[in-house]
Amino acid sequence: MKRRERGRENHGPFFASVLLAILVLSLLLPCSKVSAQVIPREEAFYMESWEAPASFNSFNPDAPSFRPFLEPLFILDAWHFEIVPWLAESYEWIGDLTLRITLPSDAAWNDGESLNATDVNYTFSLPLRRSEITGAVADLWTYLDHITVVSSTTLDFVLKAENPNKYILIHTLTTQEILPEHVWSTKEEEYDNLMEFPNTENPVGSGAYKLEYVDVVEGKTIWVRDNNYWGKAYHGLPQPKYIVNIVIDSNEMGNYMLSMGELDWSECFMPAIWELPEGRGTWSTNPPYYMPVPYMTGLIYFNYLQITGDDALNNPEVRRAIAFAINWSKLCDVAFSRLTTPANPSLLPETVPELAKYINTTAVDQYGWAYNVTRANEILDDEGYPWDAGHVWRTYDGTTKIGPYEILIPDGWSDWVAAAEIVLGNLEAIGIDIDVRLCLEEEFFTSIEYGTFEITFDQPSTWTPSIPWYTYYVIYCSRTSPAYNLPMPAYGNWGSYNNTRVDELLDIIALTDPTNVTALTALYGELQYIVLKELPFIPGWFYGPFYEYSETYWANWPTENNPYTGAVCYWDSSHGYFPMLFRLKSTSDVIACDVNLDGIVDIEDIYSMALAYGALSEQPQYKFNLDVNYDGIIDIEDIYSAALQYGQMHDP
Amino acid sequence: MKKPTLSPFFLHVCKKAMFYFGTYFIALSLTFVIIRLMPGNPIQVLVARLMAGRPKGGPVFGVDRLYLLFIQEFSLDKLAHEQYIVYMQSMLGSTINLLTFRICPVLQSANFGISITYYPLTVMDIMTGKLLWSLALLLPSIVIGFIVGNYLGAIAASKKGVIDNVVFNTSLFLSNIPYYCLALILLFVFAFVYRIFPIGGGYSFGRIGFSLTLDWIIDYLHHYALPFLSLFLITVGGQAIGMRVMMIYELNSDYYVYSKQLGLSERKLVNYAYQNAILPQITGLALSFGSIFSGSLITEVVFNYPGIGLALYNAILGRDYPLIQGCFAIITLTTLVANFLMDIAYAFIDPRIRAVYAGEKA
Amino acid sequence: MSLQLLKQSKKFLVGISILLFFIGLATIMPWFMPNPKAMIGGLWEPPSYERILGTDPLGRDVFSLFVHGINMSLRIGILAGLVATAAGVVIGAVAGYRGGIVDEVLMSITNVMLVIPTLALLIVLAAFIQVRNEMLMAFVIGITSWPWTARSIRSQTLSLKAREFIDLARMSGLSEKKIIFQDVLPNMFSYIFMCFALQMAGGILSETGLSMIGLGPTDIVSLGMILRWALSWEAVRLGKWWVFTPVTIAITLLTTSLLLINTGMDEIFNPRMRRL
Repeated sequence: MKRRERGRENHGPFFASVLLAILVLSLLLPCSKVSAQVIPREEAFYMESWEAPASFNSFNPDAPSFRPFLEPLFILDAWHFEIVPWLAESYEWIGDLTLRITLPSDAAWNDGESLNATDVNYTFSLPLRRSEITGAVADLWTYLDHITVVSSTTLDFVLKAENPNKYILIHTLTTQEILPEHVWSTKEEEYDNLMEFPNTENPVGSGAYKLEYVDVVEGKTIWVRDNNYWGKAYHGLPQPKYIVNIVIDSNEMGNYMLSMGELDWSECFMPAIWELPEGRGTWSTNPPYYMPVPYMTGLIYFNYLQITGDDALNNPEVRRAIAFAINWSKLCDVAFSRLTTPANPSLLPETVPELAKYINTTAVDQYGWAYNVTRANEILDDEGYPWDAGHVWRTYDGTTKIGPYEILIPDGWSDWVAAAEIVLGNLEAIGIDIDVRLCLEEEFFTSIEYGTFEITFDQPSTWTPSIPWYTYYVIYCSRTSPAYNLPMPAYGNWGSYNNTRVDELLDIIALTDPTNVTALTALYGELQYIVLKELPFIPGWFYGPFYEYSETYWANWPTENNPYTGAVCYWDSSHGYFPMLFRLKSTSDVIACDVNLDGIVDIEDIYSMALAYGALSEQPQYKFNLDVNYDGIIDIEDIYSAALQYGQMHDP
Repeated sequence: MKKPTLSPFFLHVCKKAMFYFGTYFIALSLTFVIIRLMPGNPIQVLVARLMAGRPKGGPVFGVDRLYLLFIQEFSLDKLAHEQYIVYMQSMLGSTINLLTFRICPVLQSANFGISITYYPLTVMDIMTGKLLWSLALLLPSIVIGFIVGNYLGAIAASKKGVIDNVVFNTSLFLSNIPYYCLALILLFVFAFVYRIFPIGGGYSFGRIGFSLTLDWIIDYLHHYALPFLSLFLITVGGQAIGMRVMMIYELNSDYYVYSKQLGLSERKLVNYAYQNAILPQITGLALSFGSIFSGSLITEVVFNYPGIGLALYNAILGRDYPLIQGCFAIITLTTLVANFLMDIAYAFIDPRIRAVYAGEKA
Repeated sequence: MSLQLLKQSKKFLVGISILLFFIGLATIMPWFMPNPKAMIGGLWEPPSYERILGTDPLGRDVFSLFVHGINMSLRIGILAGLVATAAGVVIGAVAGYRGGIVDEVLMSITNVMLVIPTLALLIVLAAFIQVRNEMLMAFVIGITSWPWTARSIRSQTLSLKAREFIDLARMSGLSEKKIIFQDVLPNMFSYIFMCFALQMAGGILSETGLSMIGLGPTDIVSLGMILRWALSWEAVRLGKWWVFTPVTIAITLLTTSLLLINTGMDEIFNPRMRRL
């Protein structure tokens, strides 16, 4: 019997081997770049962000917000609501117009150069020389007269006598990172537009971390701790040796990764957050789960560039009826998955005493609202918008229908989409027709900045060093609106509300001494009276900062039970997360006990603990990294833990 | 003197190559029409807005840069037919650049455009890596699925009875589940209920770049398993059904019935039938590559697998038009190249085609 | 006569009964549940006696969403199927009957459309259309999926063309258009119906896929949209299987039923498929 049939060739083995080759090669296709480094998980802190790391230039609005290689002069502790010195040592008001900042003498950049007043002066003065620099630091010069360098460690910021706005100055001191003059001044000649300087090659900064690796397509940035960080005597050294920052593109992915332990810290909107498994957490285990401060305030904006004349929405009582008609607690429960609370009509939270004292309770009682459909219908009937039996909707005079109005919502923001649906249903119940239009994120941003929407939502940031003034300023001041700024984009007051007295009040408040409570109460009181009576926009909900963590590798997270600092997101412009980074403790005992982070638990570590023996957390000798079990005292238990780990090494 | 004649096989290859080139040309033109010429298309709207927002004074970084980028990328300052010429030049140049693995220095600047979200990286930079990931997922699942599926289909057809029923019904079910549905179910069962596999990604975080260590390979396979399974199972189902039909044709054909009645061994006969039946399956595979690729796009989104599908999805969310354009071109290119290669392979295998060109058959 | 034959095919019977069940569910149930988007229950309630499929993350009745979703998916599927079949039949019949240059041109176009990855094209198309309502989307899905039908109809036309009664019709002087529409197509009716079943299945799948990634018709309740909400509210991570499992099963059953109808009819009408 012939093995091969005549006339028929046997291609079998040939094709089999081709297929096998294809299989093996294709499996290995992704191994196109070969590198050997793997970061040990327990030394790394994993976080996520949304911005592609193409540039680390502080003036580029597209650059990632998380830049741990740079530091601001001060930061805002979001829970205690205090300005905490960071790069600077202290500040002091000299007279009414001058703020004196003192820097430590040993501040240094990570390339060895010393950091002094020249760098601070340079950073803040850049907008004067380079017109392309915009943003907060440029706006500052509307109110700042000049900066005097008194000595290499002291500077004076002098405000203009005619409008010394202290709020903006303090705000900018927490947001603006200090840049190295010796690097940036050379870049000034190189670049026509300074914002094009990517600053991704060994960027020089003063912070505790240096850039180790960045890949824009992979979306991965890796920061490595600088053991020579100048501030280690003041802030200590952060325990995470590496910070790995991954770009994610959806809340779902971030939440998945957190629940599987692949992220340590995240700021994704997490539905059903009460079902977080063991070992994961957020600020509190009770609603609203996030820090109960109005970090952002949600409002319904009406656009007065589109709503004019006799339009029903131009009538404040109609808007008030809408406020009565919306089921705010259902909105917070369902649309925001219990993460928000209904806002106080005055925009000030009753739960924060320093702010609550300014609430004008009379105005709130008279012009405020609560969910009450009957009352809503009453108001509309009284205002003369009949709802006849024959009609589906209310009308102006029996024939012309009110609306329909269009609410613009970015598609994909599931909480807002759900909220809009609820609002839709609620308004149907009082006879007003609205449509919800879903659009792309970028169309949404353009429409609010250029005033082309009809109705929309937004959540401006309302927990900054400059509140409560800033809250009212960014929402109601006509100078931030599209009407005032076009053709440039607006940066607040999306609906172009314009009231001269409100603007006046805001300006007066900005110049009033923040300690003059009597004067301020009267001023805020009048302000609230006007904006509540006219109700141009409807305050809706208070949102705490998004915050979830995993305790698998790092512990000592700020929570309700451990509120040593505020729990904010990585995009907090006032850098409130710095203390958290420096106080995280590794769950690996070896790393936790290696207090000087030199790679080995040895006599030096025990010696440091012995020197601070008995220190309680309030006392100056207490260094939190010596308190291994973080029980508030450096005692024998901490030394015992170190002894148990004696001689253990880890990768420093 | 003997006139030198072109090999008939070569002619066949050329004919096919021309067809595929023509198809690619049409696909690129379609994209051009969709992206540039549709009324109220997002690019025009966006540029109109940017122009309206342009400040009288100095430049505003974000607005101005985007505006200039759009004008440059889409040559919006030119007329429609000029735009078309520039577009085709750029696309075709980039395609050649990609196909020649970027060796040719002249074509270095032809790169499918500059991405907006990853500015200043070019689409080519971004896509080459992602394409490799997608191929690594597709090729093994299609090849292994093809082999296993056809084998099962042949068995079902020749054995009939219970095996036939079981195989047929399972395959029918499997081949009809949409890729993303199977992906969701696998994800739920194996990544959530039984935590055997990770919920997504191509590899774990702590790895910088890639390495050929055993450790890394295991991690990679661990993340690879579920996406692979969701494509593999459906391919098996589809191939089994198809092969079963082809085998039944063969089993009913004259030569088979006749030979069987002559007493030839069943096994050998089934072997012949199999070899005949598999030819149209290969053509079918070529045609379905496009649909499997398309199906894998959404699977990648479900598993967050870093391939082209996920890149296209993110590009659409972020309205990164150059990236959308480039992704689609590369997806089409891959499909066409795969079809072309399979056509050549088919020409090798099927003796009838070679016979046609050698003049044996009319 | 054909109906008697069809009743013999088990596959056809199974397929048609599943399809009729879904159609029935989709037409009758929505009358009882007019407002699927009403938020009437607690969040994430698992299935119970009052609510057979529980509630979704916004407190909406999943069963109500489910039946409305089937209704919408069926509508879009039927519409897309009609468009695709109509286009495919016309092109295939004309190409097959005319032959020559017309055939070459039409078949080249068909082959080109066959090779271009459809879903990718659909994704790009959907991304650039400003307004997406169900009619437009069904139309778009239909005009990107006709090639398969065109090809099959063409080969059927070719075989029919050779038959005597067509020659008779030609000799009697009927116009080509009349021959195609009065003699050729009616004889292929069962075949056209088979193609329609396939196209409808494809249409349902395409719409679901597009809706799931957010590119489907805006503001509707379809099976794909339900999956999209399940994904964006993280039903899989939270283990809320009742939100997405019934939908997945429904889609699979729907498309399987249509394909069973197709295979069943194929077995009856296609002599090569008969088992000896």
